[in-house]
Formats: sequence, structure tokens, C-alpha cells
Amino acid sequence: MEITINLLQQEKNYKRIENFLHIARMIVILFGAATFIALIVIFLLKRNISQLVDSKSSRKEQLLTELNQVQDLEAKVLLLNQKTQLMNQIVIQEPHYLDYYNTLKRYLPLATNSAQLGTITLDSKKSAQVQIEFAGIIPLSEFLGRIEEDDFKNSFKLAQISRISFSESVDEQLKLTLNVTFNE
Amino acid sequence: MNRKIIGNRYLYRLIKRHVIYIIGFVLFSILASSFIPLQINKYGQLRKQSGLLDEELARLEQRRAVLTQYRNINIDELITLVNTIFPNTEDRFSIFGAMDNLEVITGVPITDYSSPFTGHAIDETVISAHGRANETAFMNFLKDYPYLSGRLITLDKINFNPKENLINFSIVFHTRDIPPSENLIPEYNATVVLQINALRDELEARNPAFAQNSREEEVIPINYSTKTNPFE
Repeated sequence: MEITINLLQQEKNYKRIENFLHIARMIVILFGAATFIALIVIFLLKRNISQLVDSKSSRKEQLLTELNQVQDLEAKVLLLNQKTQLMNQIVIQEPHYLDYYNTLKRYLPLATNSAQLGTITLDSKKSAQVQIEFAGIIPLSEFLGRIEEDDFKNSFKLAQISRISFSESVDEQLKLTLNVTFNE
Repeated sequence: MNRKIIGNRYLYRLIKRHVIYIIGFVLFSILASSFIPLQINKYGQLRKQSGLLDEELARLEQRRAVLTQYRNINIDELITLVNTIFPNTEDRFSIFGAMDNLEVITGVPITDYSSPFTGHAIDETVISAHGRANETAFMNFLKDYPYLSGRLITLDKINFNPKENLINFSIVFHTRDIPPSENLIPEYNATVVLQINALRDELEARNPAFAQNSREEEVIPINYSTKTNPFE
């Protein structure tokens, strides 16, 4: 009986397999090394962040304890701020009555004695009703002319004459009622 | 037959030589596909937790810093003053005192005013009043009415008749109850402290009733000698 071994033919296959296995081994080693490095990196990162979280948590506990001791003060500070803020809001919304009165006085012909202020009503809608008494038609005409001037118009949001009346009984007076709305 | 035996032996030797690589590959594959993603996920959660803690700490530090600034300020005194000027609920009897103060401060004699006991007083109590005032007093009234009576007052309407020196006005006394709020972070507001102190100074200087009350706030003596028998 004869055994035939063709070493040349076997060598060709053997080398191919060995090359493939060599590459496979290298891939497994690299894959293993990469996994190992990744594990170490993740472990270090996790350890650092855990330490950080622990220290922050203990700081939080410490601060909460401190704040609990001054809870009353905190409630008072909040109350003070809120109340003052509300108080200021109410005052800010309040019309500037004194400024409005001074603005009106600047434009009314009261300095010349040809006219007199009858009554003035200021209200929270930033408007006013003014009653002016004129000694005759000339000062009234002059004032009506002044109302038409740009300076007067620009000083008020709205200005309109609601009534002119003539009274014969007392000193022949002309009464003019003027409604104005002030600029903001 | 022999070739098969040789082939099997070769395969057996190959497996024997590479068994460590095969086990390593399986192990690393399991690690890479399940354990590492799990750890990365946990790391992400810790980072998120750390971020949230940063925000919480910033808020807590801010609260602590604000409260530290208030330690040297007599906040009770400031709150008492604010609650006097702008009370939580209306004590309608106090309106009589405020009207008297208004009269003294503005120099406008108030001849009569409506009762504070009519109507519901939720946040606002409206009083109609009549008084006597020349132009100077009228202007003083317009300047001084909001705080100097010792109460926060707004003016709803005012009518002035300079010929007869008469004024008619409608004023509003304000109150507001503020419920405690948990979500707000206190702020140190130096302006508020300055504003209230300035208000107190002005009230002490200009409002005689307020100045008198401040002087009368005396400390109750507690160092008296104690007795064992109260009937002795």
C-alpha cells in the first residue's frame, strides 16, 4: 500500500490559512486592547464624575441645612421685596396730578386777570375738566386762538371744548369748559 | 482516509492553538456590545445629575449670598413699616388716623369724609372727602398724599375750586395680602432697603403722629424682681 503526500499542494493551502489566522489573531488582539482601554477610560471617568456628584450632593445638603436655619429671614426678604414691588407698581400707575396741574396752569390765561379758573377736576384716567371764566369776548377769543396753536396741541393728548356759556347776572361772564387728556 | 485523519489533526491543532483567541473574542464582544454601552449610559446619567446639581447649587448659593447681605439689616423693622403703610388687611379704624395725618401734613383741613365702614374692603377702601384749600395747600396735597399720611393712598379724583377755596376728592386706601411663595428666589435689592429707610426718615420728619409712635416704642423692662407669692 502506497501513501501519497503532496507537500507542495498542501503548503499552498496551509500558507493561506496561516495568513488568515494571523490577521484574525491581530484583529482579536487589537479589539481586546481597544475594549480594555475603553473600559479603563470609562472606569476613570465614572469614578471622577461619581466623586464630583458626591461632593456636590454633600455641598447641597450643607447649604440646605444652612438655609433651613434662616428660613424665617428668607420668607421675610421675599415678603418685603414683593410688597415693595407691589407698592411701587401702584405708585407708578398713579397719574402725576401735580405735573398735570402745572401743565394746565402754564397754558391757561390766568396771569392777565382777564380770565379766572372756575373749577378744575383731575381724575385717574389722566384727564381733566377745567372751567375758565372770561371777563369778555376778547380774552375768550385770544384763548381759543391759543388752543389752536401747535404748542398747546402737542402738550395734550386730547383737548376739546365741551361748553361755552354766557351769564348775564353776575359781571357778564363767559364760561368755557375745557376737557383735556394729558400725555403719558 | 489518511488525508482525512491528517486534516482533522490539523484542524484540531489549529483550534487548540487559537482557543484563547476565540474565548477572548467572545468575551470582548460581550463586553463591547453590552457592558461598555451600559457603563457609558451610567456615565451619561451621572453627568446629567452633576449638571442638575450645578444648577441647584447655583440657586442655593444665590439664596445664601442674598440672605447673608440681609444679616446686618433690621428686616423686621422694614417689614413693620411696609405693613403699616401697605397692610395685609384693612383695619378700617386706622383710616381715621390716616385722614387726620393727611390733614396735618398737607395743610388741607378736611371738613368731612365718608365712612370707611361702608362697602367691602378687598384690597381697596375708597373714601370721599371735602376740605378747604387755597392753591398752595392744593399743590401740597397733590405732592404729599401718596405716603405721608402713613398709609399708601392713591387719588381717584380731585376737584379744586380756587374761588371758594374748596376741594373735593376721592382717595383709595390700599391693602394687599401676599401669600407665601415657595418657588421664588429672594433677591438682594439695595434700592428697596434705601427706599424704605428714606420713607421712614421722611415720615419721622414730616408726620408728627408717626414720629411720636416711633418715640413711644420703648423696651418693656424685664429685669424686675420676681416674687414667690403673688399676693404678698
